[in-house]
This record gives sequence, structure tokens and C-alpha cells, in this order.
Amino acid sequence: MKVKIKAKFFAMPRDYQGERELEMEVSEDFQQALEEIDSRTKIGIKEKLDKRFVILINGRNYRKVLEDKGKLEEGDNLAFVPFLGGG
Amino acid sequence: MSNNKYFGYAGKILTVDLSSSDYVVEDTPFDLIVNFMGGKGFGAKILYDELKPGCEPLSEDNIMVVATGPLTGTLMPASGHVTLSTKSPLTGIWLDSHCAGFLGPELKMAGYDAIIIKGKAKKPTVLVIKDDGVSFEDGRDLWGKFTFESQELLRKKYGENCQFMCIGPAGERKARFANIVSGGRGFGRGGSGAVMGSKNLKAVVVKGTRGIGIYDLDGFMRMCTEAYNELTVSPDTGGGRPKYGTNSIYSFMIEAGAHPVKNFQTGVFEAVKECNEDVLDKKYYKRHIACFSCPINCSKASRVDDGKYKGKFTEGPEYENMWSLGAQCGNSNIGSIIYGEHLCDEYGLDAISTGNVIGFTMECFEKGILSEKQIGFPVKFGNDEAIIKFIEMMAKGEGVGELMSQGVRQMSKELGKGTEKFAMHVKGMEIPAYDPRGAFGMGLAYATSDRGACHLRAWTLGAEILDVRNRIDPFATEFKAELVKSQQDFYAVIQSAVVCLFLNFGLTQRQITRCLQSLTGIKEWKTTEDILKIGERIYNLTRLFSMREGISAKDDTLPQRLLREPTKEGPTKGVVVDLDTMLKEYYLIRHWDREGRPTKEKLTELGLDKYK
Repeated sequence: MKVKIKAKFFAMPRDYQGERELEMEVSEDFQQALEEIDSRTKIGIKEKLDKRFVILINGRNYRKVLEDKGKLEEGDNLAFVPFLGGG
Repeated sequence: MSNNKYFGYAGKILTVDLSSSDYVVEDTPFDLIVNFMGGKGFGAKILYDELKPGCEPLSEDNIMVVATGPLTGTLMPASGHVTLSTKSPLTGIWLDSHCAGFLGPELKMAGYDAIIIKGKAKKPTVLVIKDDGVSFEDGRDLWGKFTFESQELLRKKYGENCQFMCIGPAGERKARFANIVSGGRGFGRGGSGAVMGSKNLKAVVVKGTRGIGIYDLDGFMRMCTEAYNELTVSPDTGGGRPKYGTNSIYSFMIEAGAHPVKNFQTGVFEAVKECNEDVLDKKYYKRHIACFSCPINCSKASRVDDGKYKGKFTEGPEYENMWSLGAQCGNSNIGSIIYGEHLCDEYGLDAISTGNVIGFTMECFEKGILSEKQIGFPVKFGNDEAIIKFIEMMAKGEGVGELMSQGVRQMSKELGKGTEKFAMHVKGMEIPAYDPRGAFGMGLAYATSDRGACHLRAWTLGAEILDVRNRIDPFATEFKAELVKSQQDFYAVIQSAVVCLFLNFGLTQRQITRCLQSLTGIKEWKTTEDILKIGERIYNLTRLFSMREGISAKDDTLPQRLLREPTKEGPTKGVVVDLDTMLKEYYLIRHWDREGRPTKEKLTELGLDKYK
């Protein structure tokens, strides 16, 4: 099943991508969705996820969210955020 | 070369008495070094032992300890910091304040690990410290002048290569959250500028040409190279931060619902579309600025090129001030934030407290608690011109600005009418730019921070939101006590070492221990545990200091808004902070009793028996 999500890019992932956000339709299965997002963006999910940046789903760490609900839902916001410290 | 006895240290402490225009120079005691390291640690030990309990912070009895640490002024990246410890006129408790730039290294090169400033000068004075020479000079011609003009005049008089600490009109009139400015940076939070003003001390001029001895030169240089490499490849200190400055986290904090808006009434800031780090980078940042020995370049020179603030400029704006003069006041006009931050620096006001107080005042106005007649003009959220007017009024003590400049705690006390529920402070210190309803750890961090609400005693958001290994839930209470305690102890080490906290975003605790070991050769500092014990000792001593000034467990709390008033929208919708559960665990882990007092056993373990 496909769901509409919003991919938002922050700091360095935004530099790789060249835009702030992108709406797209992806599979509700998270792994499948990641591959689809990877093929449609320039941020390099395969090499850089969990090494250079992390994904927040609706503001929360994606691993935690997936433990709780297992898959993506219509209208989810996926934020690609590098590991950053305080300001 | 240095004439010190200890590697990594200047070896001397200068004590200045402004009342008698006298000074003494003494050796830095080795037991002070081994047990308290430097910076904040020196301040904690010296102030606890020498400051009269209950002393009025703005009287001549208060003491200022300006201290460097072993890493200050070395080739270690980010080693340009210096600390100042005193009793805060804003909170009435412990205050340590940290300044970036170049002052710390200069002070160490002048031959001092610390200067202890006591008494009160009879007339406005400039203290001049050059290598071994100390003089007390007439500062009357500078009194009343802005900080940048004052520094420019001092530079002309004492030489291009001097460094300064200087107060502006706000410090002179003892505004309770007045800053001390050094170059374009400052000793922020808690009102150290007012303490300096109360001592009639307009400025300190420092020039030094000595060196620092290194225990294991090859080993230390290897560590400096390793640190440099780590910092430059890190996605933070080598990526987002050099490009966007401290605003690298700006949009992300709004995404996580952790960026408070309109005095913490919501976490949703629609204006992020036109007010964000990308716009800053493309339109306002003109060049990068680095502190002493730092590859991060997190500071930015910004200028406004069009609109009603055309021509205004600042060194910044920092993330904190983008919030305090921005979202906190419902304001998305970046030009006004740049001008507002510049004005805070010129007058010598803490921009976090300044913006927090303005947001509170705006809410009071919208709720009908303060009228247009009382204020003099309408001040709804988003009114950028009102923000600029308020800064001037607070700095000069004009109209309602006089009350505002006493801080949000005092303001709500005088206004009454339930305003204490949304007066956003802890122990009198205005809360900075993170909403604990977006990450509970920050709630515990604010409630237990030794100087009142502060994000630089523990910054838990990275671990709560970004950390992929631990997966700590930001909206749960588990593991927060451990997280906050371990960060507080480690940050106390960084602030005693004395380096920038951003080194912490590139280096591990183990690497920092190895840096200290190769620099000083101190055999008591072999392991990370040895180092963290020093941090824990310092954190317990600052706690004892503040308890002696009257605080107890009942003060380890948060404003009611964060505990009982859930936000109505965004990622934090419906959330309030469960502080009690975290606090109980925190006391247990710290070995503090139910009153929040360190137990006798803990004090013995930390070598603080005499403070039982």
C-alpha cells in the first residue's frame, strides 16, 4: 500500500538535496520506502543513514517510532537531520 | 617561556582589591589544581571558601573569579574560553559564566591562572594587566559609553593586541542580567556585568606574552591533531556548524517541537518558512568568525542589506538569540533580531533573558495584565519595533524597562495576578531556547542546573532525539536522571579545563582525558573516571554554595506552564513534563537526600569532608 509523506531536509542533507522539502508517495513498509526515497533524492541514504544523519518521523527518532507503530502512515513527516549538538 | 611549576598552567593567581587599589600575586596551589582543575572548579572552591554567606551580590563584599584552565590558550582546538564565577544578582545563587574569543589565552599568557577581583573602586576604573604589571587607571571618560566604543578607545590607548572585558550602560546601572562583553563575545547569563558595575569597574585590559609548558609535547601535539581531525570531519562541527553557525539546529528544533514560541504557549512557528538558517546563510551571513585556535568557525558576521533595519549588523545572531528575540516574541523579522542582538551587546545585556522577559511582557499585555498606558505603546506578539524599544528601555531603566530589567521572576512577583504560572524561569534565571515538553531531559536539566535554567549544564536533546544507538524516548522519564547527571559532571570538567563546550561534540570523554594527561602529566588524572570525579566534586560544591544561599529541593522545579499546561498543537501536542519521577531518580543517583542536599557519604567520597 502507498502513502503520501513529506520528506524534509535539514542542514547538510539539505545541501546534498538542494531543497527544503519534497512531497512523495512511497510504500508504507519503511525499508521499501527508504529505497524509494533514496532513488528519488541526492542525500545518499544507503551510505549515510545512522552515520551522517538520522531520520525523525513526526519529530521523533525513526527507530523508536517504528518500534511503536511498525510502518509509515499517510501524512507522516520524515525529517533528515545530521547529528548536531546544541546552540 | 613560562615560569610556572606545573605543566599546562600559568602557575600564579592574581588577587586585586579595588577598594585599596592593591594586589597580590601568589602561586597557584597544587591541591587546587589536582582537585578542581581550573575555571569553574577554581571559582567554586575560592568562592565557597572566601565569600561571606548571604552577601548582597551588588555590594563590595561580592567577589569575581576570572579563571582559565589547563587547556586554555594551547593548540588544542576551541581553547579560547575563560570563565567567571560570582554570586548572581539575578538569582542570588551560584553563577559561572563563560566567554569565547581570545581573552582566556591572553590572561594565561600574562601569567595568571585566575584573577580574583574584590572590593569596590571609589571611581570608575580600568584594571590593566600586562605580563607582571598591574595598574588601576581612571575609567571616568569611558563611563556611559557603549561596549564597542569603549573597547575601541581602550585598544587605541593600550595597543592593538590587547584583550578586554568591558561593561556597557546596562552593567553600569546594575541591570540584573547585564553582561560583560569581550570583543564581540560576552560573559552571558546571570548578571556578571551588574557585579562589575557595582564595583565601579568599567573594563579589564589584558596583554600577555608568556608561554605554557607542556608535559609530553609529542603526545599532546598528537592529541591536538586528532582533535582537529575529529572536529573537521564531524557532521556537526565540520559540517552544519561552520556553515550555519549555532543556527544549524534552528529548523530541526522547530520540527521536533522543542523551540518555544510566544513565551512557551506553543511549539509551532509557521514563520519558519521565511525565518530560518538557510535565509540567514544566503541573505545575512557575510563572513565566518573563529575564536582562538578553533577550526569550527561557528560565529558569523551578519549585516542587513535592505528594509527598515538596513545597515544594522552583529556578530551572530546566535541560535539562542534567534529564538529569544524571534519566536519567543512571535517575531520573524530577521533584521530586527540582528539589530536587537547588536543593541544587547552594545548596552551589555544578556540577550536570552532580554527576549524571555519581552515575551513575558507581551503575554501580560495580551492578557490585559499590563496596559498600553503602563507600557507606553502596544506590544502584541510579533511587534518587532516594540522589541527594539524594550531593549533600550531595559538598558536605560526607563518606564516599565526598569522592572523588566530585574528579570521575569521579580517582574511576576510585582505584577501578581497569576503571572508566576507563565514566568519562564528556574531559580530566577530565564529559560533559554528549548522547550522541555519536546524532550523531558531538558526539564530535569533546567530544574537541577546549578545556576538556574540553563542549556549549558546538560544538553540532552542530541541523546533524546538524534541518538540512534540508545533510542531514548524524549517523552519518557527513563534514563533521563543518568543522562543529565553524567552530562552535568562532564560539562563541569570542560568548563574547568577550560575549553568550548563544542569540543564535546567532536571528542569523546576518553580523548579529552588523554589531552589533559599529555598536557599536564598529573598522575591523579589517569582515567576518565578520575576526570569525571573532579566534575562531580565541582557540581556538588556549587550545589552546597547555592544551598548556603537558601535554595532547597522546592526550588528544583519548573514553571507551572511546563508541568501542567500542555501545548495544543504540533509534535508536542498534549504533553507536559513529568518532572517528579525524574527528580527522585536524579537525587538517588546523585546521593542527595530528599531535601536535595549531598549526603555526608557522598561528600566524603568526593573529598569534600570539610563542607559537611
